[in-house]
Amino acid sequence: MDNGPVKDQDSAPHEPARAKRRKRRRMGTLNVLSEPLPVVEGTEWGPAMKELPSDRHRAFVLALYQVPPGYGAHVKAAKLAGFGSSTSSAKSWSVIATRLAHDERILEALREEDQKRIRASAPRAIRALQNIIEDPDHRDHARGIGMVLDRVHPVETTHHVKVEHRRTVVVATEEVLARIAALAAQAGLDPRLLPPTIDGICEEISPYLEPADHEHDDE
Amino acid sequence: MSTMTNRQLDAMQDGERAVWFNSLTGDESLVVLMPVGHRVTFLLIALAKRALVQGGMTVGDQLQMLERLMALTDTFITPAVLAAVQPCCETADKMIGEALALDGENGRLTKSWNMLSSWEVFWHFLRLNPSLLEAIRLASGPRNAPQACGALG
Repeated sequence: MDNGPVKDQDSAPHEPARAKRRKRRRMGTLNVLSEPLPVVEGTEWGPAMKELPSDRHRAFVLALYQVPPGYGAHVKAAKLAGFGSSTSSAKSWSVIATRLAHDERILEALREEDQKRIRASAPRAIRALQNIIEDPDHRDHARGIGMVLDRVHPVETTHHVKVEHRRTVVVATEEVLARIAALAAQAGLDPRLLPPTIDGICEEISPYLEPADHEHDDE
Repeated sequence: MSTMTNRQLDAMQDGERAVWFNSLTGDESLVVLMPVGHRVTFLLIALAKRALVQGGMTVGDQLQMLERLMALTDTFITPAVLAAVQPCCETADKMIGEALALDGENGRLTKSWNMLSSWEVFWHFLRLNPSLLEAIRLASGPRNAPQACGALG
């Protein structure tokens, strides 16, 4: 019965086992930022963006706002920003992207950029709200009007002045009267011409008496 | 032009409105360009001052009214502008009362707000209480302009 070729283990008993040579991987060329970040005259980076070590890091932050959000967004941003090399594997890209995305300096720059973009988009949001208000057929027309009215300061103030009425007992001490005089002067009213207040001191002048006369009448 | 009624203004076409806008005097332009919410605030300041001057309040009410009055100040209605407004007269008091009655239980004061801030009605108030126009001139003056712009940022 033939069991196939059997390696003769005793053929070279004194020869040491040769270590398996690992093929050295050829290092690729490093990637670079495809084009330098544009310089706009009269503008400058915020403090956090300035603190970043290179333009590639800044490009990574900016690229995060360009790539579609979701799985792989950090890797795409890292590629756009010119990190890695021509031979970087998927695992390498994952490590590069994770390190970048969790770098404190990058996170601080992202916070700064978030604030800038939110502020910059405020006029567009207001314009969109105006469009909703001006379009009576829009499904959120009434809600848009409500939002505007809620933010109109005088209306809310009017409501408070006319409707809200909290009863707090304020005693006419020297401090209170001085405060009233100061506020009246600020409001353009002569404190001396303010009419007297209607405060008074309640004093019990006689105890309550039972109507005893009626009892005598019944009898 | 301040005699223009609300109905006439509503009936205007865009072109007519532009012509009307260009024909306004300085004071009328100030009133047109002022946010309508501030028109109502001016009226309420005058009304609150009338209530303070008329009396019949406790010390607590008086203090509360004055504090709320001063709380109406902002970058447009500065304390100096507020101080320039004189108390309204009895007629204006009744007019405001009638307008507020339009809303009934509506706490948002929608109808009365539109009525009081409309061009025709507001000019009636300005004629009854000229100090309102003085205060508007003061508020719209160059001193207030940079503050107002800065507040937007």
